[in-house]
Amino acid sequence: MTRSLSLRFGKMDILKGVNLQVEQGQVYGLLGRNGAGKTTTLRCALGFQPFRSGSAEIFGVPAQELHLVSQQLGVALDPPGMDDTLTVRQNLELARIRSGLRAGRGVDEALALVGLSHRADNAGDKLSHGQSRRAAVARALLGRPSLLLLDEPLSGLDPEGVEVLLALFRRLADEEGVTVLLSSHHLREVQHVCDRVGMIEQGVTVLEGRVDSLLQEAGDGLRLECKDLDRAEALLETTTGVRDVQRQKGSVLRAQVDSTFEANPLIHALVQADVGLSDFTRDRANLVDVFQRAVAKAVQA
Amino acid sequence: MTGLWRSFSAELYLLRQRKGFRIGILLVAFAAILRIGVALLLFRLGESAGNGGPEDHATWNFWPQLAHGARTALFFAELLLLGLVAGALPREVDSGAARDPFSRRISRSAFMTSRILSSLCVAILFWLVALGAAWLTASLLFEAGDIMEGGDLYLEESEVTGPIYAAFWHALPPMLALATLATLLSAALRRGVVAAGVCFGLILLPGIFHDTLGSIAPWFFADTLAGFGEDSFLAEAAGFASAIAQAYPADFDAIVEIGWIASWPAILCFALLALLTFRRRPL
Repeated sequence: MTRSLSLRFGKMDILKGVNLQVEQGQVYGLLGRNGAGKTTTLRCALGFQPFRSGSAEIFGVPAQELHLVSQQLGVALDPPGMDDTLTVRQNLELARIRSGLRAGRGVDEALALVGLSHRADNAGDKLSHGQSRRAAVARALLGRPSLLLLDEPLSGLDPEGVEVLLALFRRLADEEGVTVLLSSHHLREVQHVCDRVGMIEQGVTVLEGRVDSLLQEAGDGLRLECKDLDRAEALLETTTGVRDVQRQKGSVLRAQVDSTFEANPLIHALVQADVGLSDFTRDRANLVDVFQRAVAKAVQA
Repeated sequence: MTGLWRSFSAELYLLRQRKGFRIGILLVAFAAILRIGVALLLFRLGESAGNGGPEDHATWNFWPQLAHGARTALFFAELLLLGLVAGALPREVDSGAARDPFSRRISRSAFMTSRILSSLCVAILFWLVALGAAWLTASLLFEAGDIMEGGDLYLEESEVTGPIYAAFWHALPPMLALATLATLLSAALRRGVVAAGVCFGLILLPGIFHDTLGSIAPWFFADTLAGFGEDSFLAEAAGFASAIAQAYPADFDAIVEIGWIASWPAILCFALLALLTFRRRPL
């Protein structure tokens, strides 16, 4: 989708090399912190922001000629872009006219999908931040698009709203073959629905890959609290599947294990060795850890 | 359906739904009604004070009232036109609403062309409302006929209708040019207030430098705007019908001719510039 995308404002490099490849029918998460360049990347990909070098294509069509794409696109960027002088229904109706839609998903169905039917006749400026986001997503869903590009669709939503939208994105991909590209800094929430993620930091792609592979590679974290740290550390280092053993402040040890690692035999061995084990915690791998490690690695490099 | 047609249909839908345009139409109509209504009230007060009746004052007639009412309404129409058109696009860009068309197989050129066309529609609509409201109010409150002044026939009705009808037609091209200029500025500038302010400043310029510009002044479309223009044909026609002796002098016909053709190149030029400006604008 984008290749070596770079963008400069004045003397500041905003994007320095963003590479993303989104396959059809996937839910793809474009992840990164606030100001990492997620929105700018999407704006460049859609031709809303001229870029200095590199290329951005959607369905093989360059960003500046997006109107030549024959497939329906659904786009909801940040800010949501609802016309405050119109009601939610009128905003969607306006988009429907622009698309020339006579068939496919209509205004009422799109509003129902995002749970906003009861706000259909509210003016744009009477909506909360989260409701505006949902209205923008509903607008993007009009006419059954084959690609959804959503910028921070979860921002400002309550937990229930986040769940509704994430389940909807997954369902659209699974049942209708829709490709969903969503940008977010809510890494924990999106890891359950994304097939693939791209992580960007300071305008550079620091990691890209399938979520399950990334989590498996990252492994789970172990945290042990015990009295005899020397003996416990020695035991961990000789156990197959345990790596990166580190002493921390107090009587704490940390280590990494594969996601398939069986912990019970280790606990048993620690008790048998009489290391004075008082706490044993296993943290399942998550995208936050993966992201932090990828950023740290990129900074070192 | 082509992108241009879809985009233009959406622009027409926006015009129908936006409160600002509906309020604008009402304000234009109200300006004409108020101008003619207040004129009647003042005449009645003058008559009761012994200052003469319809036979004594040329302005106590349908035709001058129609011209004055229409001019007042067009003054407000021009003001509202530049405010509504120049302010709309920067606000949409700011809120992100302007990005929606381009994910719906509409090119920037098609969008901007449809935006120019819709601004021309607004100008024509305001022009029709101004003339219609003035006509209706003047015909309800004043009687048409020959223009009388001091009890004598000043002008026959047939002498007045020609300049007034011509002035109505001549009011349209500069308004269309104003609408296109406002669209250009809305495409070029980031803030709606600045776009409207610059547009307002530009249409005042020919008036401020009218003496310096001399005979080339009518070549600037804003000089012949019915409401704001220094060489407003409607103002001259209204003065002529009101028995103001120096109004509509013989050499004014030359200005009228220039005014009729001067706006069209401006419309074309502003439209092309708007299309070019919007092509690379970050959204």
